Amino acid sequence: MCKGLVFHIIHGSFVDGYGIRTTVFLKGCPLRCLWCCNPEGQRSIPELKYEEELCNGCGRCLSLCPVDAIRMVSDGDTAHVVIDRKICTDCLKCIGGCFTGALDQFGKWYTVDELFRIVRSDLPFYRASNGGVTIGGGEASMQAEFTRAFIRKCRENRIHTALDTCGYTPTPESFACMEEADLLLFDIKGLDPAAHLANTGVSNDMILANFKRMDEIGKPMIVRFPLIHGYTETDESVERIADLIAGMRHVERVDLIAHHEYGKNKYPQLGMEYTMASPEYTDEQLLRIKQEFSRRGIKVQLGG
Amino acid sequence: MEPKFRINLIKEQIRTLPELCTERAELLTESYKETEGDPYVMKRAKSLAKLLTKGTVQIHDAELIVGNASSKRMGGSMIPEVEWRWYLQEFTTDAAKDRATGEQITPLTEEEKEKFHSILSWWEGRSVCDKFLAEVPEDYMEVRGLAWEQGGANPIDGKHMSHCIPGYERAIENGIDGLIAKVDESLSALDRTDPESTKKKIFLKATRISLEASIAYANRYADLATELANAESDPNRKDELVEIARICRKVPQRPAETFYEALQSLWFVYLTVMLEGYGPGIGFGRMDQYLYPYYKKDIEDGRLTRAKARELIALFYLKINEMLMPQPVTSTGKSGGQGSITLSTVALGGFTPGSTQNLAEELTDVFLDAEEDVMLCEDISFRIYNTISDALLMKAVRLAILVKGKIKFVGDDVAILQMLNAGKTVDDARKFALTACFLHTLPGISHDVGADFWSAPMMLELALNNGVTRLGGKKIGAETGDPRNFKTYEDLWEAYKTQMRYLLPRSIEAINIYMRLFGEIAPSPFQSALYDGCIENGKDVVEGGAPYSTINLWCGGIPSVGDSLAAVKKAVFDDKRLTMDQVLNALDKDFEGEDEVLFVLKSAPKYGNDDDYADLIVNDVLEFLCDEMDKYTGPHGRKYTLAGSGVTSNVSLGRILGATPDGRKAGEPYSEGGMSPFQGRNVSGATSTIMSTVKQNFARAIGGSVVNMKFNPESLEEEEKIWKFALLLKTYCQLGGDIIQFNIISNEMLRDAQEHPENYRDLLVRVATYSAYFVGLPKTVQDEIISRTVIEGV
Repeated sequence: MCKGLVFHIIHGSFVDGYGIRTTVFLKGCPLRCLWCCNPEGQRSIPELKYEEELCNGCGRCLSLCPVDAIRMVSDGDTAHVVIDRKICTDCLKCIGGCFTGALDQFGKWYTVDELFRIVRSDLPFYRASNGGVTIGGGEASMQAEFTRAFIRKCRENRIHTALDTCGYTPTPESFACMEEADLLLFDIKGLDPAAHLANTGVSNDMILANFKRMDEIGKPMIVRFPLIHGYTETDESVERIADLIAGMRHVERVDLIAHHEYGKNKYPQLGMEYTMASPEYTDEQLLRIKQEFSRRGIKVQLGG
Repeated sequence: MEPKFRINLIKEQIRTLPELCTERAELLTESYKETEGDPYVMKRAKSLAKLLTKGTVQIHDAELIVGNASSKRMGGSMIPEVEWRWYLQEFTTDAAKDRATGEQITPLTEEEKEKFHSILSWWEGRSVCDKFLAEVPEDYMEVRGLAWEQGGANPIDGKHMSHCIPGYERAIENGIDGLIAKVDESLSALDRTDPESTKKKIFLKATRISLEASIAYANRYADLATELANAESDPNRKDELVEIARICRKVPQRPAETFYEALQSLWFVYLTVMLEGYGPGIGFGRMDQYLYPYYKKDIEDGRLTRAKARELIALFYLKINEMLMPQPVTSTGKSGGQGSITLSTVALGGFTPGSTQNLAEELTDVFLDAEEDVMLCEDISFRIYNTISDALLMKAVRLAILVKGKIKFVGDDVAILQMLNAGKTVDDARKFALTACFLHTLPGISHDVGADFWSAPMMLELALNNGVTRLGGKKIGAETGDPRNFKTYEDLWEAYKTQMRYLLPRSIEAINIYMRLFGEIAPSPFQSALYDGCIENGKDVVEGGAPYSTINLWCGGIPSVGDSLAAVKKAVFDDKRLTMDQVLNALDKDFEGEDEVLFVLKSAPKYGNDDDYADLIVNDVLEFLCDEMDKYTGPHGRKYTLAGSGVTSNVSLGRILGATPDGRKAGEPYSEGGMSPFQGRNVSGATSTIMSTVKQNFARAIGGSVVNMKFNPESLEEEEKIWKFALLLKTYCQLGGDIIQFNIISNEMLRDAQEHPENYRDLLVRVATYSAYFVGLPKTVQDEIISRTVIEGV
C-alpha cells in the first residue's frame, strides 16, 4: 500500500474551497516560491523541526545524533542547542531525546485508508455545507500515486475533493491528479516566464498549458493569485491575468491572496532563512486590483 | 419619541453605580416579627404582601414598561431570610472593596451600616443558613471548598431555590383573578378528612394573599402613573403615562389582551416572583412562544408595528439589567463568577407546543433584533431546532458574533432526549427551555433546581493519593490503597469510582437537608401558583407540588479527569513508558525537574481532537457520574440529575488541586465550562472539537452540558463564512450537541494568548493554503492581527 507524507491536517476549515472543509497538507513541492508560507511543505522527506525557544539546554539529544550535527551553545545562565543543517541528515533520531517539544518532525506517513479515516469523520459537516476535502501542500501531485488513490477513495464515498495545485506536473501521473479532483484551486503566479522562473524556480509554460487544458476539459477551477508586489503583481500583470481568466469558461472564482508573513517563523525551525520583503497592501490597492477582475465580469474575492 | 432615543435615554439612566437596597430586608424583617406565631408559608405570604404594598414604587423618564424591584434605580435587594452574615462581612468591612465579582457597589453610609446591623442580627438562628449549619454534619464543611463548593440553592450562598422557570403564561392568560378563582375552587374542594387538608388550606390561603398582593402592587403603579400624568406638561409623555396607568390597572389582575399588556403583565409577575424569593437564574422561559398570540393579533388588528414591538422588547431587556442580585464572594471563598446579574434567561427558538415547527419565528426574529439595540447583560438562550429557517439561523449567528458569543445555543435533539430520559412526555419534553448558565427545564411544569458545584478532578487526586489531598495533605477521601500497587488501568478506574462513591453521599446528605429546610421554612406560595398542579393539589412548588421536581448537581472538570486517566492508561499501562511511581513522584513535585514525565503525559491523546482514546474515557467519567446520580432521590421525591457544567468553579476548585496527570500544574484551573476540551488542547480544528464532544452521552446528563469554543472574528467577516459557521453550529446540534457558546476572540484574548500561549494552542489563523496557529506566528504579525481585530466595546 503506498503511503503519503502529510505535514498537517486541519478539520473544519472555512477556506480552501466551498463549504466546510478538511484540508490535508502533503509534503513536497517542485516550486520554490520566494514568498512560500509553508516552507515545511517543500521537501519530500520528513524533516527535523527545531524550535529554539522551547529548548531547555538539557543536552540529551547530543548523543543521539549519529553525525554530530548538534552542539550546545550557552548564553549566560541558559543554554540551547543549535543544529548544523549542512550536516543534519533529517534522520530524526534526536527527537527521541527531547522532552520539551523543541525537536519534532514535519511530516508523517499515512496510508490512503488511514488518511481517509481521518477525513471521513467530518462527513456530517461536508454534507451539511456542501464541503469536502481539500488536498494542499506543498504540491500534492508530487505524491501522484498516493494523491490519486486518496482522491479516488474520497470520491467513491461521495466526498467532494479539491486539489490545491501549482499546476506544475512534470509526469503524466501528476497531471492525472488534476483530472481526478472535483475542483482545482489553481495557483497562477504570473504570466511572464522569466519573472516566474526567478520567483518560483520554474518556468510557467507547463503551468499555463495545464491551466488552459483544464479549462478545455471543463474542470471547475478557483484561481488563486498570490499578490506579491513587485514580484507577481505589477500593474501590467494584473491586467494580463484578468484578461486571460476572462477568456476562460470554467474558472468559477478568483481568490486574491495578499502577501503575508504568517509563515516566517517556520523558516528558522527548518534552518532556512526568510528573505522575502514586500510591503503590505493598503485596502485601496487591494480594491483596485479586485476591480480589475470584477469589471471583466469575473467573480473575485480577497482571501481564500 | 424615537425608539433609539428612548432606549439610549434609559441606558444612560442605568449607567449608575449599583446600590444595595435595604428595603426588602427591612420590610420583610418587620413582617416576620409581626407574624411570629404563623406557619412559615403564611409568614412568606404576609411578608410578600408587605413588600408589595409598602415598598417603593417608581416610574422613570421615558419608561414604557414599569416596575422596580428595589428602591434604587440600579438596586440589589437583600435576602436575609436565607443568609444574612455575609452582608455584614462584605458590605460593612473593608472586604466591600475586595469583592471579586468585578462589580462595584456604592459604599454604604455610616447610617445605613447602623441600620444594617440591627435588621440583620435579628435573623441569627432564624435564617435557612443558620438552621442548615446547625444540622449539617461537620465533615460536610470540612470538604467544602475542596471537593465541591456551594452553588445554586445552597443557603450558604444566600439565595432561594432557583434555576427554574415559572409558567408566567398562566398569569398572563388567565389574569391573577383567574388564578385566585382556581385557588378558591381548590379550597372549596378540599377533602376535610384528608390528613393534609389543614396544611393544604393554609398553603392555599397563603397563595391567595400573595396573589392579591400582586394586584395591589400593580395598582400602586397605576396610581403613580396617573399622578405623574396629571403633573406632566409634555402631551406625548402624558399620553404614555395615561396608557401605563390603564395597563397597570388591568394587568396582571385580568388577562392581557395586547402585546404591550402581556409584556407588562409578565414583568409584574416576574418581579413578584423575585421579591418573594430571589434566586439566580429564575428564567423568563420561552417568551417568543407565549407572547406570539398577542403579537400576531396586534399586528393583524393594526394595533402594533414590528418596530414598536422591537422597542418594547428592548425596553424589557433594559428592565432585566436594572435588577441586581449581589452574591457573596469573599466570605464564602468562591471565585465569584457570575457577578451580580440575575441570570434570568430569555429563551428563544424551538418548537411551538403541539408542532414540530416554530410558528412564532416572526417574533423570535424581533427578539433578536431588539437585542442589537441593547447588548447589555440580559441573558439569551437560543434553541437550534431541525426546522429552523435559514434566515433566522443566520440572524441568530450574526447576533452571537456581534455580542461576542454571549448567546447560548442549545441543541433541541439532545435536550428533548434528556427530558424523555427524565421521564417527561414527548409533548412536555418539546417545551423545554434553558435558564441561567445551562439548566434545561420545563417552564411551569418541572421545578428543577440547582445544587452544588462538584470537582470531578479532586476525586482523581484522591484516587492517586490514597484519599489525601495532594496540596493540603488532608485526608478527605477513602483509602483506595497506594496507587503504586495498581496493576491495571481498571485498578485506577475502580479507585476513582470508590472516591466518588465515598464523598458523593456526604454532599447528597447536605443537599437533602437544605432542600427540606427550604420547603419547611422558605416556601414560595406565589411562585407555586404559576406551576401546574400546585393549586390543584394544595402543595407548594418548593415541596414538590409541580408534576416533576429535580435537583441538579453540577460537575465540572470531567474532561480533565478523562485526559488524566487517558494519559496514565497510555503512558503507564499501554506503552509502559512510565511507571506509576514516576507519575506520582512528578505530581508531588508539580513536574519540577520532571520534564520527561511531563512530556510523555502531555503527548498522550487529549479530548477535543476526535481521538476515541481520550474521548471515550471522558464519556466513561460522565456516564459513571450519571449512574451515581440515578441512585439518589431527595426530599419531596426530587430526582437527582447531573449537569456537565461547572461555570467558573474550575478556577477556585482548581486552585486547591495539585498537579494532574494530564500535565496540568498545581493550582491551575482545570478544564473550563463543563464539557469543553481543556484550554488550548483541541488543536485539530473546529469539526474535530465538535466530533469529540458529541461522542459524550449528553442525553444522560439531564441538567445540561456546556461546551465553549473559541472563534476568531476574522474568520467570520464574510457572509459566506458566517453561513459556514451557522452550518457548523446546526450540525453540532444535529449530532447530539448540547449547549454551545462561542468565544468570539477579542483583542484582550489575543494579548493574553501572546503571554500565555499554552492556553491558546487551538487558536487557528487561516488564510488560504496556509496552516498555522496564532501562537506560532511572529510577534510582529500577531501585533498586526491584534491591531486589525478591532471590535467595539459594548
